[in-house]
This record gives sequence, C-alpha cells and structure tokens, in this order.
Amino acid sequence: MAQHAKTLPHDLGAPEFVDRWRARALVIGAIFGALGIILGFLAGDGWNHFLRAWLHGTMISFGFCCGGMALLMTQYLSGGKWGLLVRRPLEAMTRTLPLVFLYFLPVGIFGMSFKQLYLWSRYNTDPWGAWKQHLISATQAHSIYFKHPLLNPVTFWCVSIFCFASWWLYTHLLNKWSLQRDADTAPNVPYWQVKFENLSGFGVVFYTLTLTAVSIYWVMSLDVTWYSTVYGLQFLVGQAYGVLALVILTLIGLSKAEPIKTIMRITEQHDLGKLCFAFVMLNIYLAFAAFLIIWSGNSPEEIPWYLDRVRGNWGVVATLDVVFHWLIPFTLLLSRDLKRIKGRLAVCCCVMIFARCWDMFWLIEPNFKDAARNLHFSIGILEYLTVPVAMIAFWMAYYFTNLKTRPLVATNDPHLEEILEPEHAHA
Amino acid sequence: MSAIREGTYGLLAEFDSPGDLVRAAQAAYDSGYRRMDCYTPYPVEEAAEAIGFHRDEVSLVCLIGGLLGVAAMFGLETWISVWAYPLNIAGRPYYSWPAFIVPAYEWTILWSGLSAFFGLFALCGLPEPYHPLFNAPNFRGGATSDKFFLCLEATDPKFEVAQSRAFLESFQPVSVVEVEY
Amino acid sequence: MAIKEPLNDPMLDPVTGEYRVIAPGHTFKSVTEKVSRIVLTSHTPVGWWGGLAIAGGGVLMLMVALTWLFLKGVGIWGITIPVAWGFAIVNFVWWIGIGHAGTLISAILLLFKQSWRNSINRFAEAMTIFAVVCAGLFPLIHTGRPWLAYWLFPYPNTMNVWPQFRSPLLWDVFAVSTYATISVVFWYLGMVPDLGTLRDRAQSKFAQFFYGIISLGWRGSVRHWTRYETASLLLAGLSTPLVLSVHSVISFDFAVALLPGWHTTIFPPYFVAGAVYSGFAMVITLAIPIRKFYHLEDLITIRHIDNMGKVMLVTGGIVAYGYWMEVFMAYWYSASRWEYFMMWNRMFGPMGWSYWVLITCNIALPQLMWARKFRRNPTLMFIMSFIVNTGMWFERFVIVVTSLTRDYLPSSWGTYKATRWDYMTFAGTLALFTFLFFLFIRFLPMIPMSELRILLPQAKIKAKQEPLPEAGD
Repeated sequence: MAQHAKTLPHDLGAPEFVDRWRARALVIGAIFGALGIILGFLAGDGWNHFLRAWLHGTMISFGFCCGGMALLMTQYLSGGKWGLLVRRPLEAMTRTLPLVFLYFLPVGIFGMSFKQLYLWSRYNTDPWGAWKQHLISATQAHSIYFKHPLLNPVTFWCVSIFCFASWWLYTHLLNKWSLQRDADTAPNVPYWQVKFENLSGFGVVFYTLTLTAVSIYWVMSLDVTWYSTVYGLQFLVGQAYGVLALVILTLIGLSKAEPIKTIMRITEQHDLGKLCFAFVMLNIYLAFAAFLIIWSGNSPEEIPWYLDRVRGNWGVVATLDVVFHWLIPFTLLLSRDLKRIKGRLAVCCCVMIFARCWDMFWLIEPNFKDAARNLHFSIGILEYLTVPVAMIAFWMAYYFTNLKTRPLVATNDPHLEEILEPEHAHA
Repeated sequence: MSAIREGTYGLLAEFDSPGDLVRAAQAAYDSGYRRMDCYTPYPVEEAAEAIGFHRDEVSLVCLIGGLLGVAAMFGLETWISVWAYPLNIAGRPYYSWPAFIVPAYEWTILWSGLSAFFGLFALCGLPEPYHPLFNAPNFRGGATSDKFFLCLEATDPKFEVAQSRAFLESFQPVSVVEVEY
Repeated sequence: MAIKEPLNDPMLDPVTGEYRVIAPGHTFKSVTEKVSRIVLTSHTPVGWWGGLAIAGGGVLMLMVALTWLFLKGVGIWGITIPVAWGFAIVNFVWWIGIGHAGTLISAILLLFKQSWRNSINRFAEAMTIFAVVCAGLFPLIHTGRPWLAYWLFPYPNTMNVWPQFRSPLLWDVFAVSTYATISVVFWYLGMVPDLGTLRDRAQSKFAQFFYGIISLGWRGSVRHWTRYETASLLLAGLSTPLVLSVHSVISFDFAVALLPGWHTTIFPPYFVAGAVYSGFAMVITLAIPIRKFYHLEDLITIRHIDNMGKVMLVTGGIVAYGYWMEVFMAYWYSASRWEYFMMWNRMFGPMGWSYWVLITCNIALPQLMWARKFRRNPTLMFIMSFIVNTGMWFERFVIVVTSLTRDYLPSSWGTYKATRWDYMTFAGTLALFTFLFFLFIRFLPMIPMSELRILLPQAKIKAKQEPLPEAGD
C-alpha cells in the first residue's frame, strides 16, 4: 500500500469495458424481451400476466432510478467520504428517468385506463352493481366506493404525472449543479454544499411523500381492501436496499480500472458494506414489525393480505423471501472480512438485488384472484422470468450509457484529498 | 502461585508523539523483539500492528454469547408455551413463533453484549490493580494523558539490559527507564 | 486544495467552511486537564450544591408520592376504566424515548464515524441510563403491587405458573431490562480508560483509591486498546438494533391491540423516530447549560448543536410522516368508520386540544430549525428543545388517553383527569433525573478524554523516515 497520498489519474472517464457491459445488457434484454412476447402469445390470458410482469419490471427500474436520487440527496445531507465514491454512479441512475416513465406508460394505459390490472378501475363507476352480479365481494365494493375520491382514473393520472414531473425537476437540478460545481473553483465549495443541502433537505421530504403516493397507487391499490400505514416507508427502505447493492456492484466492477481503482479504498468499501448491512436490518425490521402487528391483531380487515401470500404454496415464496432478503445478506455482511473482499461482497449484492425482485413478485402476483392463496404453474407466470429481466437489462444498458457520459469522480470536493490519503492515516 | 517476583520487569521508553512510538515499535519488532507492549493514551492501531498484534478474539466470544442467548430464550419460550404452561391466548397457536422472536432477539443482544464486555476484560487480564509499570513515575504521569510508551520486557529472549537500552535510545526517546517488579 | 481566505471566526475550518468539532490550539494535555479538572477539583461550585439541593427536594417529593401510592394503591391516580393506562404509561414511554438519543449518539454515530459525537457521547449515555431509571419506575409502580414485580420473570416457582410470551407487556420486560443492562455496560466500558486517567491524576488518597478500583487497572496497552476498540464497536453494533427494538416493543404494547388509534403498522418506526427526536432535544437541554457553566464551548461547539438540530429535523420529519399516514389512512384510505371516528375524535373530540398542542410543538414550530441561523443559536435551540419535549409528551398523551377514552362501544366511553399525585410523580422523576445528573457531572468524566485525543491533529501519524507497517492485506 502506498505510503504517500495517491494522485488522481488524468482520465476520469469510465473505462472501456463499460461498453461491453452495455452490449451484454442489450443482448440479454433482446433475448428475454422476445421470450416474453412469445410467452404473451402462448399464455392465453389476454396478456394479463405480461402486464403484471411489466409492472414488476417497472417497479424495480423505478426503484433503482428514483431510489438512486433519494440516496444521492441523502449523501449530500449526511456527508462522509463514501458519498464522493457513489455520487457519479447515482447520478447516472437518476438520469434514467425518461426510460422509467416509458415503462410506466403501459401500466397506466393498459393496466389502469384499459382496466387490465386494477380491480378498482374496472368497477370504478358502479361497485355495488358489480357486487350484485357477484363479480366482487361486499368488502371490495365498499372499499371501491369509499376510496373513490382517491382511486379513480383522473386522480391516478394526475398524481402519477405530478410525481414524474417533480422527480424530473430534481434529477435535472442535481445533475446540472453537479457539473457546475466541478467546473467551479475550490473556494466556492461551501457555496455549493449549502446549495445541495438546501435542495436535498426538502427533496428527501418531498420524495418520501411522492414515493408513498405512487407505492399506494401503483402497487398497494391492486388489492383495494387492504391498507398498511408503513407501506410507503417499506418501499423507501427497499429502494435504498436495492440501490446500495447496485451501486456497490457498479463500483466493484469499475474498480478493475482507473479512476475508481485509485479512489476506492478498503475503508470506504467497508463503510458501504456496513451501510448495506444497516439497510438489510432496517428492511427486515419493518417487514417483521408490520407482520407481527397484523398477525397479532388477526383482524378480518387485514390478515387476508398475508393469508393470500402464505397459503396455497405461497409460504415457500414468503420463506425464501426472508432467506434472500435477510438471512443470506445478514450472515454474509456480519463478517468484517467479507465486507473487505470485493468478490464476495459482489456476490452478496447480487443476492440482494435478486431479493428485491423476488419480494416484488411476492407483493404483486397474489393480488390477483387466480393467484391468491394458490401458487400454481401456468405459462403466464413464466412472464415474471422474462419481462422483468428484459426491462431491467434495458434499464442497465441505459444506466451504463449514462455512466459513460461523465467523469466518474466528482473533483471539487474537500473529501477528495482525504480519500487519496493512505489508509489508517488517522490513529 | 503468589511467588513474589523480583528483578527487572523491562525497559520503558517514553515518546512525545505517536509517530515516534510506532517507528520505534516497528524497528523493535523487526529486529526480533516479541515480548513487548506499547502504552498510549488513546487507541493507536498502527502501534498494535507494529508489534504484531493483528487479531483479537472478542468478536468470537460475542458471537458465541449471542447464539447461546437466542437459543436459550427461544427454547425457554417454546418449552413454557407448548409444554410447561400452555395457554390459549386469543386463539393463537401454542407455538407462536412470531411472538417468541421478540424476547429471543432481546436476549441475543443481552448475551452477546455481556459476553463482549466480560470477554474483553478476561482476555485483557483485567482487573489488575497492581502492575509493575505503575512503579515508573513517568508512566503514571503520562500513559493515560499525553505520552506514548514502548516497553521491552525482560522475559524476551533477546532482552539484555545494556543492549536493549542502547537500542531504545537510538530512537531519541524522552527517557528510558528500567522498571522493577 | 487548501485555500487562503480571511476567516474571522477561528471555529470555522478554512477548507470545508464547516464549524470545527474542537477549537484549534488544544493538545493532548490541555483536553485532559480541562476535562479531568472538573472532577478532580477540591472546589465544588456553589451552583452545583444549589442545583443538587433543589433536585434533592424534588426527589423527596417523589418519595412522598410513592409512599402514599404504596400505602393507598393506584386509586390515588387519575386512572379509570376505560383509561387504565394514564400518566404512568405516558411518562414511561416519554422517558424511555429520551434515553434513546444517548444510545444513538454513542452507537450509530460511532458506526458511521461521525467523530463530532466524541465530546457529547458520554453524558448522552449517562442521560440514557438516568432516563431508563425514571422510565422503569413507572410500569413497576403501575403494576399495583410492585413488590411482586419479580413475577414478571420466568422462574420456577411453587405456584407452577409461567409468564405468557404472546403479550407485548412481557416483551417489554425483556426489552427494557436488556436495554438498561447494555446501556450501563456500554457506558462503563467507555469510561474505563478515562477513569485510569483520573486515577493517575488524582491528588487525594481517597480519589486515587476510588478511581483505581473502578478503572480496573487500565494502563493503555495497545493490545488492550485493540480489544477495547473491537468490544466498543460490537457494543455499538448491538446497541443500535437494540434501541430500535426497545421502542418498537413499546409501540407493540399499543399496536398489537385492536384499539383504533393503536393498531397501525407505522407505529414501530414512528415510535423510534419520536424517541430519538425527544432524546436529542433532551441532549440539547443538558448540553447547552453544561457547556456554558463549565466553559466547555471549545469542546461542545456550535457544530454539535447544529448537527443535533439536523438530526431533530430528520426524526421530526419521520414523526410528521407518521402522523400524516395515520390521518391519510383514517380519513381517506382505510374505508373504516372506526378509524375515521378515532381520527375525528383525536382532532376535534373533548381532548382535541392536546392533539393541536402536539402538532404545534412537534411539527409546526420545529420547522424553524430549517434555518441555519436558528440551529446555530444556542439560546433558541435551548428553547426549542423544551418545545419538542413538551410536544413529545403530548404525543404519548394523545395516543394513550384519547384513544382509550372512546373505543368501539359508546357505552364504555369515559374520560380522564390526572390527580395531584400523578403530577407529583412525574415532576418527581424529573427531579430524580436532574439529581442523578448532578452527581454524574461531579464525580465522573462527562467528556470522554481518550476519544477527544483522537480528534486532535497531533494524533495523525506522519510518515517521516521509515514507512509504516503494511496495513492488513
């Protein structure tokens, strides 16, 4: 390990192999996309499973994109050297927002306006009439009726568009100012810091509220009867969980070459690993606490949501969800050495990203009548293996493109000097 | 057991800065000294590494304690609720694992915390109110406030009073004193 | 990178423009002296005696209230059916919550290497322990027959009865007892090296003996330091989820029941955030007078107050989010008339005023802390800390009392009015807390000297002639 402070390499651009990553992602996306379309024809369910899987892929891509924005703002507020490392990859994630919006459109148009996904949109005008024809239960009719001011096409579109517009504004400013800050001189750093803090402070609050809104509209309202006050917070933590895993994975991949090779010290890698561990714990904590409260209450208004997701073979999926989401990352990240070995940390991050997808499947699929309390094989369910993979792969390709467009290190930051120091410089 | 030991415990060199201490300690280790220790008023990781102390067992003790704690409490809860005193509480099953997780979790933390605490002192050999080094007046004046010490112990095979003193003095310490038992 | 710019304020770091954690010019010796002098001086300040006497008077009042309670029973309080929980549980939750900031400052901030915490963590931890003492008192005396409180523990007995592990009230027993134990252990562990310093610097025979015993013969061996660092990090790592779990378990006391206003899934995180919120407010309440009276302005700086203000903004934000989710779900999304009524009753029912006190104190006024100028003004922050703690007390009041007064069945509705014994007990625990704190600042090092030394620029090892050892590969 070098004794004296290292110097930053001259070229701060992303290394060549990011192009190969992108090509690979595009190929995977094309293959799985084609498979998904073929399965859509074969499934014979009016493309319904295709749409559900599409919603799945949308939520995961959205989580990376806007979760990245939330983490970016958080690191501006919290400070710390790890922030310098992750800033540019996170910015690249936030610049994928247009793609996420494109992903969302079919959810809104086919899922909601054409009434394919959301029960409340199908019987929006006359829930009690549908109940009389035994199409829905009395509880569902009552819920659709009660929630009509919120759950109707106009509000759905207004809320979704408003949220996308506000996120666009934030990602735009965060990205624009970041370049301006690097172009500026060192004495102006405090000015930029204050500026970013001001933007991020309000931004984090605002994002929490908008995320809560869309998580309720896009996912929770699939089951119109059920509600849980912690739902939005669980999504927030889940997004941070996935984004951290992805950003560590990106950094480990990039650290094979300059410039990340120089600036990624074991100390910061360890810190990121610890942060990951914190979110692994936070995630299981929220999930378990919500489960314990509803399990103990055992009230007919709430418990069906869990029964839908535990009975009829779903228990296997739920158990594996805990294994992937918590048990594996927990045991892996508990070890100090593991956080310091790049290869193994990368494995852990892959498990974590997979866990997010697994969890999203568990959240989405049992909302539908054919799947609730009855996990069974159909051609349609295979869509979850193809459509989200294709969507995430295309998202990744776009992310890698964005990664190439800017230097990988933000230079105008007082932490840069510290991060170039040899480790253990502080006793 | 309690034979009173006499003679020299070791040679104690005093330094003003952590950097000087680490350099001296590293040189001593490199030239073959093993039974030695550094004394600092705050943790100096580099000094521990310099004298070849890299790993400690506190984490292991803590992990074992935690596993025992979770097993003990979860076992106790299951035994009580299923066999020793089964009660029907709001129709919940006797084996209510979601509810048992909470106290089991608390005991994991309790046992691992206490294991870390007592394990630390057991491994360090503390409490030890008397130690030969306290006989050195400059040690008492500085080791816990602003001075940095390196002690070469007499039990080291390489130790030889005059030679070791010369060795220590080559690092320009503030002082080198001989410590008696 | 370093730039030259004329800065009038020596507390500002010229490179980052941030406030320093320690004022410039301190040495290992000067911080040691500054902190140890407070404890080792033979001259006890008059103000200390005065404060101790006033607090002691309050403790006597607590004794009176408790004696009368033991003689007469819990009927002397305002608790009724349906409001069987009243002040005792409100105060219990409030005190436990205050304790949490101490653990959080020492644990989470240690894990995240926020070194500014080093000068405030010791007395924040002390605050935790004293708050837990006050908190633990309430469920104990609320049991009615506190001399039988040991029945809560699972132990083989002649009655052949065992506790019921599906009740959150029993979870509480384990959570709070674990919390108290681990907090004491963590606090004491952190103090051992400093007690060694006091032992070595003490002049009087008695002080040398006293600190000699409780410092366990600490001599600063780097082998010991390495293990000590591991143990500290482990305890920090354990305390963090412990804090989360303790207040979550307390929230389960409510959330596991089916009462509207109690049974909601946001309770655990929002209770934890509320606890930290009030706890940081209490740290500010304590830190600002202490730094003034003991002239510790260069160790507890504006930076600390600013950062604590930021933490309060974050946790206050989570609390506000919790309130908002409750309102949103109850009014518009639950499709449940019970939920709807509960929220209406909370806002506009007979005790509606308490809800608006809490909104004002916890949400409206603290938004002033968004302004940097406000956060960096000790006087204003001192006032704000009182406002927040009032608000947090009312939050628990709203949750406990308002929800209980009106549940599903109108025929069992009731009301609640606290008696003078309720107020005396509450005020008495405030005095007890202050009393213990006065003893602490006089006899134990309230600022961790060993951790302050790490923050000094002298602690940085510079490579001079020879390279340092290879850092573990």
